[in-house]
Amino acid sequence: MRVGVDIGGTFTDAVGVASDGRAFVAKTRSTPGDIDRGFVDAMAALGERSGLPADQVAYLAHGTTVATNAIVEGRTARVALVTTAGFRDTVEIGTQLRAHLYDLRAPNPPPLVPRDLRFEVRERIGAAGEVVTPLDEDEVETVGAAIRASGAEAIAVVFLFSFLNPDHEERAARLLAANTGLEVTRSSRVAPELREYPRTTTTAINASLLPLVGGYVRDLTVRLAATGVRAPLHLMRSSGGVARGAGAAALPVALISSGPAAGVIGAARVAAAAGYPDALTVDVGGTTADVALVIGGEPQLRFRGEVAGHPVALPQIDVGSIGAGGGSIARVDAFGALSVGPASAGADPGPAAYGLGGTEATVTDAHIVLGTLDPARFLGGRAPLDAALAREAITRCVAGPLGLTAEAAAAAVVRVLTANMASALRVISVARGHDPRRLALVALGGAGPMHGPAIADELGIDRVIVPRYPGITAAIGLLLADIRHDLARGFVRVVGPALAADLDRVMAAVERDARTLLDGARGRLQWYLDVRYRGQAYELTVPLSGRPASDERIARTVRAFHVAHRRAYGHATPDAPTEIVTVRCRATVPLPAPVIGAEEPTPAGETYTRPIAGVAHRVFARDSFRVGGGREGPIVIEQEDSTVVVPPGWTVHDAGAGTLILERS
Amino acid sequence: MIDPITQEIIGAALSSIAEEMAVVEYRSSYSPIIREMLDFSCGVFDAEGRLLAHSEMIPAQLGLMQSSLQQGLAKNHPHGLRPGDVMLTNHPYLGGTHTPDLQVFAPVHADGDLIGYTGSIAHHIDVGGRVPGTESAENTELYQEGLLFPAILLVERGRRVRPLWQLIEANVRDPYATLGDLDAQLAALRRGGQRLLELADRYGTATLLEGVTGLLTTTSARARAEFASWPSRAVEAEGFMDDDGVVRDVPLRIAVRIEVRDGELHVDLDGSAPQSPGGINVPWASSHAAVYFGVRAFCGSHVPQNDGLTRHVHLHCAEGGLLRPRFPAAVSTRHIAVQRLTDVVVEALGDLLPGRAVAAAHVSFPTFVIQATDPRTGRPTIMTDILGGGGGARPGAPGDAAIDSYTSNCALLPAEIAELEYPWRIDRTELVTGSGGAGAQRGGDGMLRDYTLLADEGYGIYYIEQTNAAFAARGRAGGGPGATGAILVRRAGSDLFEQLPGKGEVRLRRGDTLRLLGAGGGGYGT
Repeated sequence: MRVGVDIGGTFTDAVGVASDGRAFVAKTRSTPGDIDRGFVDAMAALGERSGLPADQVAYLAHGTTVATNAIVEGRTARVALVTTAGFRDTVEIGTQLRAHLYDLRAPNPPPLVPRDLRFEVRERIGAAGEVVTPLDEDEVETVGAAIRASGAEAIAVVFLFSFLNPDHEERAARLLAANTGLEVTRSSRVAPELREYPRTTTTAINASLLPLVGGYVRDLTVRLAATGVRAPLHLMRSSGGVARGAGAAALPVALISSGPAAGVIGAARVAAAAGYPDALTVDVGGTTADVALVIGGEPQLRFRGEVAGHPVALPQIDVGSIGAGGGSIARVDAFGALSVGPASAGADPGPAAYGLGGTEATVTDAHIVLGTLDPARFLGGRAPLDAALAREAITRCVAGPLGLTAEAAAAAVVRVLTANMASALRVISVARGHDPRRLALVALGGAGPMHGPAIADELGIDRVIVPRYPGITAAIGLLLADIRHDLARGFVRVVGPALAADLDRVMAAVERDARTLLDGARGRLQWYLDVRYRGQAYELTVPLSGRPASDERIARTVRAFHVAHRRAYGHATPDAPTEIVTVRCRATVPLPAPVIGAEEPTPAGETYTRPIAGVAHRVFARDSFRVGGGREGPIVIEQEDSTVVVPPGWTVHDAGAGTLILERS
Repeated sequence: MIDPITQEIIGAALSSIAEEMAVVEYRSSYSPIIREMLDFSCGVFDAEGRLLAHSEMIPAQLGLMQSSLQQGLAKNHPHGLRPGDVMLTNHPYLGGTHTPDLQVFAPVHADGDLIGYTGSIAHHIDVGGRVPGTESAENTELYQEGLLFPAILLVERGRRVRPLWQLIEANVRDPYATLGDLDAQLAALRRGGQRLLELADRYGTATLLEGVTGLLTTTSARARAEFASWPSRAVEAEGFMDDDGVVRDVPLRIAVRIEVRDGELHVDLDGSAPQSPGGINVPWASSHAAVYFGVRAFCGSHVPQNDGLTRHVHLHCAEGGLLRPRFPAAVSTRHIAVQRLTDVVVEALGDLLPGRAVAAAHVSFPTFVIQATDPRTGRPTIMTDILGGGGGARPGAPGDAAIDSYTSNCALLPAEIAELEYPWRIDRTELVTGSGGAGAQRGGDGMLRDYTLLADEGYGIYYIEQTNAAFAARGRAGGGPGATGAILVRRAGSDLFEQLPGKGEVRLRRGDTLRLLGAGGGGYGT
């Protein structure tokens, strides 16, 4: 059995696919105080459902919020930062931009490393990678002693231009590690790219996570072994690839978007299997909606992101996140403007209908008033909701102030939410040069499939894909990801003659590093160059056809750059000089993707009709739903983890493997 | 009649359009001043040229494009622009700011009918004139401040007006960057125009136009209600510039009197200094931007930034003042006076609304623009950088260290970009600890940066404010003032930094080091 375990803030989702194609699903409560226990619980639940013992687990992949939560909750290690003399404050000065342009009362986020833990050593590498000032090793020793005395728990080393020449960083890191016994992260290893500030924050975040994440992976491995699991643990990274436990723990900053990345991978694979390699994904949970763009079956990447206001310069799936979900709160201000989110009622107290003391109107309450959600059957009937409380909240908070009926108010709440999600999807598609009308929309998350067609209407999309288990797509994505390592090396050169040999030398060095990471596995290397017009600051990442680098291969990459520039910005200057900034390599080891077999629908239960916004919808249970040659809306398909709405004018089809496709009729 | 939900959704869509235009522009632009320091803005306007939505990059350009668009159309295009036209303007006495801020506007037509305009303003590194970078406090008339574009066509019916592009190429010091940046601005206009048309397509032109009108009406109601809730008494505040850079060490007064009457905000600037013989004068549109920033900071985010707000803010100043100069007074270094005006407005509004008040941020704004030939390439380069200083302390939190304040929001040039692209070494970039004002909450610390020239020689201008301790960032509620700022030079072979006058021109030789030092912010409470 191949197993994926995705641990979120509230729920832990586990999916197991046996070698005969049978799939098993377990949803358990997360145990934030003792994450390992939640993991083991989920595995046990899966074992129970499948009847397969732990030693039958052949592959195990894990999506985790452990890194993100540690940062958001301030539970990271105390980091000592060692920089080039004169630059210890870069981590605090940052860009000197204000986080809040018009709010004089709102402070910038505090620096990642306080000033008393920032140290400097004399050394200097110049803009051509040349040594301007040799590394002062005596000073490194002195700094090491000061760090020992400071109580720091990890060390980050960031020198200027180390992405062109890492020698000083490497030597200082070795000395400091020997001197202090602490783990040392150097920037030339984590983020060897131009611009000192994002490189500094990325390195410092990595250092601050090392002890915690390392301990987590070690403990988990031991605990799993104790329960009889023999398969090695793999962790999902922000880039959408998995890495073996120890390797992943050594680069914890790459785990920050582990969960969302797994969701996008799952959605991308489901869409591709259904015949739609180009798609938008929208994952709507309780508090946030995550959106992403998939082209040719591959989620699109970005190379700069941020966490808690600090830049992270690592390749990551380009996931846009907005405050929009089932728990999003609807408010009307004194001037009659309706807003929905980003504030959320969360899981506690949750929507008014939960009856846990929530008094504000939420999206879930609106769906109860409209009839989309059946309060008696929420979460498979395990947590019935209170329709009267939902109606009361919508009436008091929205309908009253706007002078509307409760139904009209609920419809307005859903409309605003839909517009917000459509706008987020536009940002990652239209604004990147992709026309959403040519894409399919994959709707995931508990609340995704009920909004899918409305979002599609806003964007002019004709097709909505709903996976078999929309509420646990991330856990499934864990089983569909490949092992992957992303490497980069700064290489700043104007494109011209006599470039290929130098480029190939850098590529050879990167390839050696890649082979080390692959550790004997046969992997595929894909090469990319970050290219810009000379004088620009923002590069576009375009493929390079491989080694050895040649004038012709570089020329092809540059041609692809002009095309990409036109797509992204609407103009290109093919006769202008171009410049390479970074060499990237992606090393992939494909893993066997489990095939989920066809299910035999359970005997059809009684169906009935329910009005949604005044229109009668036939209601089906997912387990017994037979699509046949296609069924026309209006219908509702309910399942434990989600509710699928097929509105009038839409038809639902079977795409195999349990996937549903909704098409505009 | 449009329903309020649709109107809100259209309003949000217009803001997204302005933001998307901004991304297109900076990601494909060439000058560090745009792509790294973000000194540009994009906007969407209705068919009357009223601002509907604005990208949130740099507040100094708030409301500016509206006056340039409306005055430019009225003067040179009374019958409007045709599809495919792009108007270029930078004239300080035609609704504009200083000459390096090139503004471009394109009309958007749906089925032949004008539905609005898209616009972009960007600070170009150089538009010719007497000194590299065009700006100087010692310019004495507008004609020394480079090319003037009085709302003329840069693109006509979709075709570039080639002689104009050739003229620009021949007259600016870094034509490669300038023309590239103009391309990026045009790309932003195109993108905004496409999006506006898609919006018209989605909702229907009539509904879109109704939504636009409704947006302005609703904002107007919000603004009036907000102002009506403010105390209806007059408040006054004053502050001083160190000097105007022409007559050294003679401070210039900037004073405001603000009063709310019947939901309208009246701002009287007549107590301020008369116009200067140098380049520090503030074009009338920039004076508006400074006041708009203060108003926005005290209104809160429930009043969107568009014409519906600004139509209720009334500035008064007699012509011939520092804040409303007469043509052809020079204006290129107006920004430091804009920052001081903002500081005084924030001070006055803080007195009017003490519950929202904070201590003063630095307005020192140390900067330089220096031309030098890069020995690595043999090509001339123009390097500029702007340093932050300390932010003002708040009742519940200290001031931010090392920020660009108020109407300014320029990013620091990364040291590695500076060294890769220019013949300079950045020796250090540090906080100046203890430079924030004392108080229960300390003011933010200022910062310094040392730049050593690696070329044979360099020549250019620099300027800074708040070198005089009497005019440092004020504390509030008993908090102490921030430390002063300075610009210093250390000649090659010497160990000593010598302070330069606050504004001037400078010649450097290989190995000379320029030090910029941004002032501290004010403290709060005792």
